[in-house]
Amino acid sequence: MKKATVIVVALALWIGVSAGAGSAAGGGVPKVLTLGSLSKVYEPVPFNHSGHVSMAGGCSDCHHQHGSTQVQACSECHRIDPSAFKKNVNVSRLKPCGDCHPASARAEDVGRPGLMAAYHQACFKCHRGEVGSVGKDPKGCTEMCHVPKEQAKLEEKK
Amino acid sequence: MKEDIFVKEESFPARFTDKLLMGMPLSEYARALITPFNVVAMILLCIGFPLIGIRFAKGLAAVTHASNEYPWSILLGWGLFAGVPLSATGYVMATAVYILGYKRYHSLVRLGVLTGFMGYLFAVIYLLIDIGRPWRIYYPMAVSYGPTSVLFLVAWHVATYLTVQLLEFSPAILEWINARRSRKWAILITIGMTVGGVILSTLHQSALGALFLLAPGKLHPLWYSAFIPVFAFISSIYGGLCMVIAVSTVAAKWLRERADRNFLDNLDPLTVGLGKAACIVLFVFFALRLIGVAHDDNWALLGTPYGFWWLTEVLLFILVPGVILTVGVKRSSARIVRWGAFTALAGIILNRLNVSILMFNWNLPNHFRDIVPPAREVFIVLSIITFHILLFRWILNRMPVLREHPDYPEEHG
Amino acid sequence: MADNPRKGALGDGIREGERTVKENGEGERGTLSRRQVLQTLAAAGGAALIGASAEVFAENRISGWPDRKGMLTDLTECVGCRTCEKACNQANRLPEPEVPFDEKSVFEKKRRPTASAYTVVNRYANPKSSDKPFYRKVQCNHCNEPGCAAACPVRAYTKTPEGAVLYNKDVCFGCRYCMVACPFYVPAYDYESALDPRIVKCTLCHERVKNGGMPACAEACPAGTITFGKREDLIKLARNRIRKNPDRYIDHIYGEYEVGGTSWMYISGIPFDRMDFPANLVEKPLVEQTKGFLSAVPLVLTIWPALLGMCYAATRNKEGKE
Repeated sequence: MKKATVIVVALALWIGVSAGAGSAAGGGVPKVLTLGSLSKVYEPVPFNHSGHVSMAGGCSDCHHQHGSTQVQACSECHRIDPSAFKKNVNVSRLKPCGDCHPASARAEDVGRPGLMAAYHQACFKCHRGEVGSVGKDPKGCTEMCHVPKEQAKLEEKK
Repeated sequence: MKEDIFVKEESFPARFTDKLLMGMPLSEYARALITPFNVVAMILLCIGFPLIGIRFAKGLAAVTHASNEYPWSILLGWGLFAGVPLSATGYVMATAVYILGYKRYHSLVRLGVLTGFMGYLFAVIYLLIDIGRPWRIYYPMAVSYGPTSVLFLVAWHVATYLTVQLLEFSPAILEWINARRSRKWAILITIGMTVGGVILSTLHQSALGALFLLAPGKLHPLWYSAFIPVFAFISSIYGGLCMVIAVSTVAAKWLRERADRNFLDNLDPLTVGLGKAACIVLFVFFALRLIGVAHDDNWALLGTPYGFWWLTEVLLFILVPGVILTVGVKRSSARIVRWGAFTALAGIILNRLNVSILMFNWNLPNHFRDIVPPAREVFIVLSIITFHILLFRWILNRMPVLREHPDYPEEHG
Repeated sequence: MADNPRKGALGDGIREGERTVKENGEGERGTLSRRQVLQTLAAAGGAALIGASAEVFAENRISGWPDRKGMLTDLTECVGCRTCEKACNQANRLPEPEVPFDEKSVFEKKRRPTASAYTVVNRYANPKSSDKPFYRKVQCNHCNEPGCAAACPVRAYTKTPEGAVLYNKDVCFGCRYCMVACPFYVPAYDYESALDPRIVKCTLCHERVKNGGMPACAEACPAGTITFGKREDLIKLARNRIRKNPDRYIDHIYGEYEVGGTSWMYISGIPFDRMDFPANLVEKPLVEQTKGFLSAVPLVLTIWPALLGMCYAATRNKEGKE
């Protein structure tokens, strides 16, 4: 009996830990995201989210809502309401990039890059060495991430 | 033959050919035109004038290497920046004779005024070729004012001063065409025109230097100074004096038969006198250049290659001419003074070319390659110089500049 | 003349005039007494000088157009993709370049804006890491007090309230003095044209900005290198970035004060002079460089007639007595 209990408890712990580790509160970790909201010149970009999750040190490397030098002020997202001081967080999950970064940058808010810039700056943090040598390598943008729309159409026809 | 020019003919056509052909029948005049000098001049004109046509048909890129880093080339470097101080002859001689009262230089005044007038006229011609839209050359005067610009001042002054010099020279023209009453009026306004001319000249001669105040980082520090306007003005004074010496020397040698005894006999002592004045101003200018280096504490730069070039310009082309002029004056030798004058003029041309082209943007890569003008531009400049000389000679041959008109004896202004 | 100590520098003229004043209280007609001369000069010179000295105290940090916009270029973000060049070319309907915009071999030589390219990007080596070079975007910096505007004799340049410095080809007559004046070597001239030669430079997409939009290059930049906004906000943003990442940036905002301040500002990871930014630019606007000379114009116009008139009268007087 004791052995079974231990196994069950261990299993439960393992499931709980892995579930907790892998997910943001309230949902599962997306495996692959298709970034297509800005798609104009290029096809939507498939992004291996779960691959990056396992590589990254923590969520806040990219989801820089807290604890990083890039966020401007708490009040950007939070309201401090004296009546419910402890429960005054009005969002409680990791936000996707597009929730804070507008589709095109606004001149009134110089500290907040547009969505395209935010995507690229997040990627370039680590990938600048390859993609960042875009200026040296003729393949550049299309090597790692982008498929031009005309090329996709051509390939479709084949 | 000299007297024939002033014989009044009865009919207008006869008078017309008399004035233009200097009293010779057409066939004789045409034959007299064929001289080695004229042949060479014609060749240069035949090369240069079509090139000017190409400039207007195809744009500046067809005849210059003017670029985005070097917008100004020898068309302006020679025609405007070197040409204008050499055209200071008018205000310098008029001041000497009419304002400071050196009456004995009277025989040289008209020559000085004519040289100056022609110099400014041709500066305008060089400008018309060089600026992008020559048909708009009057815009700074009439259409849109940019009074923060030193070039605005230059534009206004060149236009006004050209008029002033034309009026100062008009007595000679009016005597030539025997317009008595107009001539009397023209003589009356001489002193006013002279004062106006000095004021205008002070400002625009210094303005040609002040243009470069706006580009402190682009002109080599040995040539850039807060005192550039003063340098330009002072060098124009001795430039004018030396140019009068030079032009009178050439005229006395090649146009001897157009000059009268008063001019020829007094030329040598007058030359020495002009040399004395030029010498003083030259030494002042030399001291000013030293002050310019001291003011910015640039002595260390004299050891650099550009520093050696500066020393060449200042020692060889300012100090040495000063010494030559001093020797000439001390020995009352017009010949030595003339040597000094010609070297001083070379120094002015060198200085203005340095400031406007050679030492401008000295720090850019490929500097010395980029400032070399194409042969086309050189021929354009040579042909305009030729035209200038030919026009000058045409006037000296016909109008009472080197001599007095017998109907109008010398009057003291 | 030297042996008689009573004679003045101008000969007998002045002394004669003085004696005349003493005898009958006023100068003879045609002569000027020394007192009269000095009084005239003092009045003329004084009047002119008072005008000149007021200028010395004039404010020379002009703050007109407080809402003017600017651009902050973070050179640590630029990856040299040349999308900005392409966007500029298309937005301004410039001719197609000979070398396409995705061609990277152009970086082997340093380029500059030309009559058919308002902006270019140049590459510079990164001493710390050879596969992450730095890039610099070159275009008109839209200075607060532009040297080109100060230089132009026909006022072809205007500083607009939106921040852009605009060129008006309808008054330009092609003197090219603005090209001499610009400390950043920006204006390009279309020398190839015979009938319509003109200056070519970045316009900060003035029409777009006036209609509430953003310049094409800023909008197109994928890496967020170029930020468009109010100049004051951009300076604060730049200071913030430098403060939060002191290892990443050189502690200098290029364009904040250079030649009086420019609309286009830069922050960088390597010293600016290593990227061909003109170094040692003065902090005062270029227009101040020629103000001194131009202020002398009314002085000469006032003093010279009196000075020359005095010389003339003195020499005439001297002749009269001989």
